[in-house]
Amino acid sequence: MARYGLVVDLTKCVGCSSCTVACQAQWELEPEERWLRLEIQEEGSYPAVSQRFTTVQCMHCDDAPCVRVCPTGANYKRKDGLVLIHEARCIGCKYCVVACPYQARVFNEERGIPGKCRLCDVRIQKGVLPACVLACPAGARYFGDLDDPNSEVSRLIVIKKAKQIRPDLRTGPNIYYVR
Amino acid sequence: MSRIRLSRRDFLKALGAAGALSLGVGSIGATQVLGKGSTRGAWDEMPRLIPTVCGMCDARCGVLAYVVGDRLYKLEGNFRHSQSQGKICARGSAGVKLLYDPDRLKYPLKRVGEGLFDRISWDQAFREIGDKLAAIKDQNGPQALAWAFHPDLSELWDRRFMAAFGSPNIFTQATLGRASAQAASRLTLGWEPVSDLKNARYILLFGRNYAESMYYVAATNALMQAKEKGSRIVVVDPRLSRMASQAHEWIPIRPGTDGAMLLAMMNVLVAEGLYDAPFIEANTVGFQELRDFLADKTPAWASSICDVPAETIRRTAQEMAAARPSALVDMGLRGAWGATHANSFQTARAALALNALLGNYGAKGGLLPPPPNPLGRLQLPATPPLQATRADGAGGEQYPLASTADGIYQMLPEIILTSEPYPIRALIANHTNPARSLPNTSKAMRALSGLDLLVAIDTHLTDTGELAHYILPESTYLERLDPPSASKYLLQEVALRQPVVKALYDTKPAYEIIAGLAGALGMGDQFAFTIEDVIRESLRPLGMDLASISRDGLWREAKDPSYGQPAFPTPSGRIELYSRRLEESGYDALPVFSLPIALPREQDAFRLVQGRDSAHTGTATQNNAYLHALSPENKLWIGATRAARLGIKTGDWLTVSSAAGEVRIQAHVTHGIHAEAVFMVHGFGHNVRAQRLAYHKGVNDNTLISDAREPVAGGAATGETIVRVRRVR
Repeated sequence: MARYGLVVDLTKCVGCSSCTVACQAQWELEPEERWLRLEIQEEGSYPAVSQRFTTVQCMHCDDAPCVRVCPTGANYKRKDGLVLIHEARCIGCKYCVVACPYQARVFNEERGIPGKCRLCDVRIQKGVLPACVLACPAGARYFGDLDDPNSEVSRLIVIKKAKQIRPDLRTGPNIYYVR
Repeated sequence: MSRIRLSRRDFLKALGAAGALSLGVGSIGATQVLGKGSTRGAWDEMPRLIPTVCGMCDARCGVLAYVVGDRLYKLEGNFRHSQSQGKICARGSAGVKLLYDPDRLKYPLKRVGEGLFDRISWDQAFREIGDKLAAIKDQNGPQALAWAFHPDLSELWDRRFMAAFGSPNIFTQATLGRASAQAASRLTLGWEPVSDLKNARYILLFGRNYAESMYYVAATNALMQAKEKGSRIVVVDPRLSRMASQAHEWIPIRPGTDGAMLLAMMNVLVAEGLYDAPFIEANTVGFQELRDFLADKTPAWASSICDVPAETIRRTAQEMAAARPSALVDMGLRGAWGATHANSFQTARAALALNALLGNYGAKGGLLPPPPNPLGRLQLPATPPLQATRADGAGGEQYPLASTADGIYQMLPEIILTSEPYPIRALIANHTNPARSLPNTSKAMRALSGLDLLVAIDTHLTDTGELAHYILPESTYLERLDPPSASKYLLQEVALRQPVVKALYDTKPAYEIIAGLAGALGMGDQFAFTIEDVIRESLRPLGMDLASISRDGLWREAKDPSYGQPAFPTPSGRIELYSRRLEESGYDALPVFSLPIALPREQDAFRLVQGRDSAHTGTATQNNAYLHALSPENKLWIGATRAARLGIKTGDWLTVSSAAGEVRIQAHVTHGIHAEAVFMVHGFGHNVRAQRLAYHKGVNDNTLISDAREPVAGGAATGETIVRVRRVR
């Protein structure tokens, strides 16, 4: 079975938010509802200064805190690595919103559901790239099977030394970043 | 409506970059991206994929519209179109929110009082506007009508209307964007170059912001591919843009002094014998004169002007020489010299000359001529010759080299207010918003309010619309058929904009509006052709017609840009480092540097730099729900050191004032800006309640900006604006 994930090459990311809006359009999200957000940090002082871009979304953790804390089993880890939500089982308690160390959950008050990146499950099952990956003008986003050592993402992790964010939390995040 | 189904092969092409994807791919039809299984949008119908052309800016990248029933679900990049290659920027994706914006104009409006409009029919609108135009023509002559437009695919109609009416006073946004650099390129090379970013080994960007001002998403992609392959990217900019953050090196420069740095780089190339002598010998005129002129333009000379270390200038020149001919200075859009300072024309000339010293014209990884336009033209009866000359002097004695096709837009308020050289009493503003786009807003508003007739054609009620006597609602780019678009990027390519949904409201494409107005003026015989006629004749040389192009939405033959020796259609047939034509017109024949006219001198004085962010296009997108959420308002960037001295912290409210006006804006204190510059993003500060999201959000930079002109092409010298900044206590 596959273990799907992403590699985000932040040496190419231009901080344009195209991924954010492509995701919103794919899932018809509200304007303030972002399953994928851009974080910008200014580092250094003039003139040796730079802005550091990071795109943050659900990391589809192997041992996902949101799955652990969910009292109804609405959050679950699928065999192919995706962390998904049985919306019918969700009672809107927001435990998962608090538990996620990446603050990847976005609670939709109207629907009473904590939304998040689904790694475009409906697209990938048809063999189509996730919306954010396809849209990325810079070509900084890669999707694939992390368990397949020959996949593009696996090779990128090795060649470009891609790392997870906060692997010390031991949640086993499946999004890797090249810096 | 055409429907395309992707074959599996096409589809794998779409996956392109991630070709190594190891998925068990089943049969792929048109359903692949349907959000089925989601609780939102569980549709019964399959989506249709309609290829069309984006209209969120004027780059015209190919997109695919996913349409379910009669509803647009989503827009993605068209992977077959070389400008998008399946990619799409934030603005492109947000097109769906333009179409379904509840604040759109829905029917024609007539002004009946201050901020009061009545719904009228199209017939009534055409008739009344026609009567008023006829009266103005009788009283003041046809030249009393001005026409401003944002050049789009219906340009043929805009221009023909004015020709038939008899007025030369047509204005485009060129002088607000790139007129200075365009004029410099045409005069120096005979064409406007395109950067072959993907193959360049050294890319120097002066203000060109491929991260935040995406013009061709594929260009941003090419730039990042080059970076991945090990090419060096260096950004010279007073501000740490997102592009500068993603470059190998950011060289902060004193704003308005780019020309001095370019001259000093050339000085190094010549003095150290690093330039491409055979290329210069074979392709240029005036190298001797240029060389003599450069002799004292040393890095030390430039350093004090630009506030860039001499060693940095020298090293940059040497590094570029080592990478030539695959080393380029991007000519940019507006950037540092598109139409930015009084010296922009000559600064652009200096950049063109530097590229010549690198011998990169026509080279892989260099600057290439734009692809030839392959489209045919509908033969139309000639319009009567114009009697009047342009009111702004473009093409005349004052601005002999300024474009008569584009005019000098920011002069229009002055002409209206003074009636010099003659009265202009009416303006039709098609898809342009002079009340927010023109420098010196208060002057522009005064001029617009005093017109006998102002007509606004747009998708939204704008600040211009609020002053207008009639407002004619335009169909969005997703609801209309347009003449084919020929690419100006690397490849010869034609794309078709076609409607993806039926018009939602009682709106019309601009060309139908223009033809309707012409009919009301008795000029209908000059417009006895349809959009279909124009498309048919445009496509004829390609052996295509509307039916055949609508399936794929595009035509292309070449796979690669054409490299090799380009022709230079200048008077000498060569690159004009020294231009006799400039000399004869009373300008400097060499790319001389002059300091900006206005200089910040006091402790609290700064040069105002304006620019873009990745969410917005000019003043047109601030009410788009997705883009508004990404970037709701602008802040004033101010350097940390001087901010501390002035007691300013991030979030403080500031009063910013210039000779033109005053605004209140919040501070964004940063290390990412040159001490003498403050920066704000252009396009905010809408004062129209009908744009419910954008209303009173952020600040209109043009309130502060000077309506100064660059003297050769008439470009807006927006950078000639000095502001005083103080904290509100």
